[in-house]
Amino acid sequence: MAFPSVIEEFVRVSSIRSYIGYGLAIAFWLAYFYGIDMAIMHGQGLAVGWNLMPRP
Amino acid sequence: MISRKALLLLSLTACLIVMPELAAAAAANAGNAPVPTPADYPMVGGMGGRSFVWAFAQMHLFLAAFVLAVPIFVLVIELSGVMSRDQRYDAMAHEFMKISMAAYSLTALAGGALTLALFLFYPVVMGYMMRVFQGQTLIYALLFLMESVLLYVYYYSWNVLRYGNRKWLHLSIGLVLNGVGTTLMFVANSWVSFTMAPSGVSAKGAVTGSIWEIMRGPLWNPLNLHRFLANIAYGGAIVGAYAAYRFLSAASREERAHYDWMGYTANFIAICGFLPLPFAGYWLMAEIYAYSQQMGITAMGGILAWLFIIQAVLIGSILLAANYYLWCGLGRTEGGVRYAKYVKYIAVVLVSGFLVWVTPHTLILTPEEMQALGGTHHQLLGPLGIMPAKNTAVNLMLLATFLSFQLFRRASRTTTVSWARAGNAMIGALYLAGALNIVGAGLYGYITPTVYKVGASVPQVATTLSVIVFCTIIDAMMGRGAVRNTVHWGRMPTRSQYALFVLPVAFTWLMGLMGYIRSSVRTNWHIYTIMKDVSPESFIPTIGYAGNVITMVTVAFMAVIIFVFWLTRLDVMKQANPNEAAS
Repeated sequence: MAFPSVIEEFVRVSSIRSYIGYGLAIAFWLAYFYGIDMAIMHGQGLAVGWNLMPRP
Repeated sequence: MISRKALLLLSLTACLIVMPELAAAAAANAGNAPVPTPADYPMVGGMGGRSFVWAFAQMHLFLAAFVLAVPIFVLVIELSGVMSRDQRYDAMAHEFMKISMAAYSLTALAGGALTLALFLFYPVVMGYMMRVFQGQTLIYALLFLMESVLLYVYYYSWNVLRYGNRKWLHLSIGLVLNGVGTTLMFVANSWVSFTMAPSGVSAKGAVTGSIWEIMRGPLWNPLNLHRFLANIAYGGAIVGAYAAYRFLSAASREERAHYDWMGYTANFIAICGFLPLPFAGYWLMAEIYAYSQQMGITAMGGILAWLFIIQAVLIGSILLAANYYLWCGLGRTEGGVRYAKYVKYIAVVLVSGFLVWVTPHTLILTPEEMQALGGTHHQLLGPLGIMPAKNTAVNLMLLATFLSFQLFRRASRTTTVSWARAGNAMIGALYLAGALNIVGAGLYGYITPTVYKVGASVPQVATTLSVIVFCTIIDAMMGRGAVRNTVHWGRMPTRSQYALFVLPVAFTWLMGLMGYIRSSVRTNWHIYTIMKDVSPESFIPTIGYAGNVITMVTVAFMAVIIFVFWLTRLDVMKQANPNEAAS
């Protein structure tokens, strides 16, 4: 199977330190996108109903 | 009883009081848009003019889009040649211009034919348009003259103004040419956007504003941006087909390498123009909805909605062809092979996205089929037919396309910066987080009212653009001091070139299709809400009929383009001197 082999390769070349690095990088970008989402939805006045967002 | 004399006196007094009012009303009506009658639409040989005007307008637009776009990217390529001191860029830019030159006079001919057809078949409408736009039409004529002069000077002075300061003069001519060309298009766009969303006139069509207020209607700028980007993508696709044609007919290895490089550049230009295009389209549609919800619903919720499924098929074909070409390109470098294993995952994303995009919301069903299904909406396919699913699919497809391009670019360089691993992790995480955000915003669209559903598409667009911008920045920083791998230009399978032929055909068809939608949303109005169409052809043509007209114009345009390619090639061919051969 091709797909597991890519994961196997990823696991083989990755260390605990690199997992933490990936985790931090993903968290950073998710936070960035969350900020973008909130800014746009809030900016459009469409945040009503978005539970994670303070009401405008 | 009132005497006859008194009655006469009373009538005369009433007339004297009312007449100035009537005269004022008549004067006011004189400024209004005329109200055409069926007699105002001449028939020629028993035929109405709509299909003629449609075909000429479409042909003019195809050619104009091409000839206006080419000088834009030619200027960028020429400048790249100056900055990199690589003469190959200059030669390629010159060759791109040569193709465009052969098409220029045909563009003017199609434009002339369109103008004649419009004045012949729609004299009342055109009379009113002239009254509204007045002197601006003369400015258009002046711009057209300037465009012609500058285009010829730019092309024919290429070799005279080739080095040193003279080259900067040549680039400046190119810059002015593009400024004039783009302004020319914006002026023509204002006529089209006026017919869809008139501004600067009263409800009855009397001119109340300045020419600037008339031009600056609510749809003008969205249309300007959409056409500008589409022209770049279209121009890139057409010159890509030319490169493919020359690649396939190349006699030497050098020639093959040159046209392979030209095809790659053209495909790159087409993708650059294409990636932001859906977002410009969203903006245009959003402005149409904001201007008239009825007009928006006619386009995307009524009879024309089915055409967006065909649009999805065509755009899906464009993305698959562009990606396929990029995947084949991985074979040009030794380093490209290591990325080949990722191609199948990108293909899965593209094909899945394509299938979601082409899924209609409602199906055309017989009563029996509807009964068997339990309604008009299929249980599984129904949810995939609405916009959150399609927006998610489109954005993931665009991300996958950008990834294909990034892999090819990576294959041609070996990074040497010490933080390359961290940079790769940032890029990988960016794609993953971006894809999660796009899917998340898409899922949010299912659990929220329509207004938020539409709004959730904007963060998806912002996500895709963010990934493209940040990946480009990180890649550029990682590329500092990178070792350039040898790219074996010309080492491409022949079949890859057919992908370059798919692009202009699909683009042309798509533009014809979307032009039909844009024009049809006015329904039975020449100028929306101001001047009604009362001709016998005042109805939206059926999809089948429209499909035939669009296809015929597409085929005709392809014939014109083949003629242009042949002309361009003819220019470099020489007949052998029979006397020399004999001796």
